[in-house]
Amino acid sequence: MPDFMVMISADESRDAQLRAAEMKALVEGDSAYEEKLREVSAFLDAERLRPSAEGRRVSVRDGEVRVEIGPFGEVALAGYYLVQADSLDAAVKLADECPMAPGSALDVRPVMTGKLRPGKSDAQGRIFAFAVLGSAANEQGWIDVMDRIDASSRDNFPNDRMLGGVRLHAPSQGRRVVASGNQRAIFDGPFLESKEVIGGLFFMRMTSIEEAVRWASETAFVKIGAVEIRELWRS
Amino acid sequence: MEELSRALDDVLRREKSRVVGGLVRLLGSIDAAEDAFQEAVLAAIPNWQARGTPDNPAAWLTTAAKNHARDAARHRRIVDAKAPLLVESDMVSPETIESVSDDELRLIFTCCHPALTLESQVALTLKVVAGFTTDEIARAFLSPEKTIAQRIVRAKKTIEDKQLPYEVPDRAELPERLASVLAVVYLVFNEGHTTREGPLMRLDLQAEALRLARVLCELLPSEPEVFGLYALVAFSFARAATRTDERGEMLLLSEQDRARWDRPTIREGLMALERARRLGGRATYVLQAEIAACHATAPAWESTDWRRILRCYDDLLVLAPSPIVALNRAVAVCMHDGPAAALAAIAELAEPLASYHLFYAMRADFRRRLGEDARDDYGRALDLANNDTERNFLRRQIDSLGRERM
Repeated sequence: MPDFMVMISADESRDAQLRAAEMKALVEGDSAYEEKLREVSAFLDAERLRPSAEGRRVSVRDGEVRVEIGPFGEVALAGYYLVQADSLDAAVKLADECPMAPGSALDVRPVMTGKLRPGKSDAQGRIFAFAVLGSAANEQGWIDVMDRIDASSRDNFPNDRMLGGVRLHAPSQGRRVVASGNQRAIFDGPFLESKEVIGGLFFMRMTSIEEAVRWASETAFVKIGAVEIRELWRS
Repeated sequence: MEELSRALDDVLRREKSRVVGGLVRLLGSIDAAEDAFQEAVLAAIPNWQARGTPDNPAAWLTTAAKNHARDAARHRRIVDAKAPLLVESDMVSPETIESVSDDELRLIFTCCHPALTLESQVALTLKVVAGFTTDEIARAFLSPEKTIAQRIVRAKKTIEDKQLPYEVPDRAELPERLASVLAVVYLVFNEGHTTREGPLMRLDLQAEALRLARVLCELLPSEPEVFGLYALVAFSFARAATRTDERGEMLLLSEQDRARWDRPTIREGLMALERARRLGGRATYVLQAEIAACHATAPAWESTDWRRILRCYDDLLVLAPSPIVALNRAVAVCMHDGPAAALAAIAELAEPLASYHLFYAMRADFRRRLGEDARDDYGRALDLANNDTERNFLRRQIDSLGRERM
């Protein structure tokens, strides 16, 4: 059965407006949702990320390493569910029941290769998510960027720190679920209008975000594309 | 019938403070409001049994209580300034959400008025706002029921004698009055966290502190410290089940089974903390919540972000210098810079904390890590500790020291 990544993009400033009762409802909704995914054997993994204000984006332009401190825009990657489903439609159906706050969106993207280690939270030390970003004028250009990153980064990972990762199929192979009011709408990909699109996600153990930035700035990820580094919430 | 009593219990827990809050405004005293509420509850039982629980139980109870108060007033032929208000209100009570929230907030601020002693504030808040019975409060605080009952009576009398205004304080007064409300909730939480005597904690008090903090967040959505307190209580509540082992013996944070922490409640705390940060808060409750968040999200004691914790303690010591805070900071110093640095950090606390058991327990732990014989400090801690669970813990430490040396 294929794997799908359901990425939650949240409008962090709207999240910060939530009332206490809404926070409680959202948290309870998430627990119930995870339980439900487990019941139908769809659940593979889920994590939440610390606020983007604590994150970093690293890229190399004109030979110079650029480190940007978050937030990086109005919406930020807030977390994900990794699910297995028979088809994209089945995965979208699962995603459609995922609780989300107003202003959030869910991107359902098929996994191309790779595995995530479940139970990352049991690992010792601090764990950082590295989102690999690529930008291009069109989808084929974006796929080329991701292929180049993939080819030049295969042997890059220090094994003792690596906690798994996935590469995702192009945006056109996915769907987006958007919440507005009580309604939800499902859109087809691609979503290349945003300047940088996630092509993969991996996790590594690091002692600090500075160390994570140092490590990333030496890699092909930032020389060809860019990397957004975010610590996990571990909750 | 059982279903009805459960529905009624739910309503009483959830809605009592709103209903009583409104009634105090109409009737002019907490006593009169509580009496009217009690009558309304008695009227509710047969009525709801026959017709089912109403859609809006709080509104039903408010109306019934008002009717009772009006009848009682007529009966006594008392004409006072409040009477016209009572006569005007009929069976339909179209209260707006704002007015209901304001009533609840007024009630909380009145119960936590600084003109009352802190003990009275806590007892009155648990009784009137949280809907605890006098007996429940007495058991929670291990005091005789009579003492609590007297405390509540005295508090109500003080409110009437001093004519404490039934209102939400204005902007200028708010910070100080809010501090007083938060202190009460914190005390309820703290009492649930480590009771002075007897078993280590009382979950009902902690659960109530969490509920009160949530209510305050709803009522005062732009106050960072309220969200800080909410987060702090949530983090602690999430860990409550793992603070003792199966025999009820105390476990240190470093020994607790983190897999059993209540993840959803931790996430609730993280959301509240994020809200507090965005509101620009970095005062005492927010800082304490930041520290608790570091623990709640650390995969293990050793890999806790001690540097971040130290920074929070440093800020906390600037805002609210206290030897207890300095003592707690020393734990982070020990983990970050080693036990010798921690011992140096607490050297000047020996005098102010001379009768505080945890000072000796911690000094013993630091000395032990340096390979010193710390039995004398453990012994002093044991002599000073009140809580049975803490005493057992200290005894075990002494026993294990003995074994180490053999």
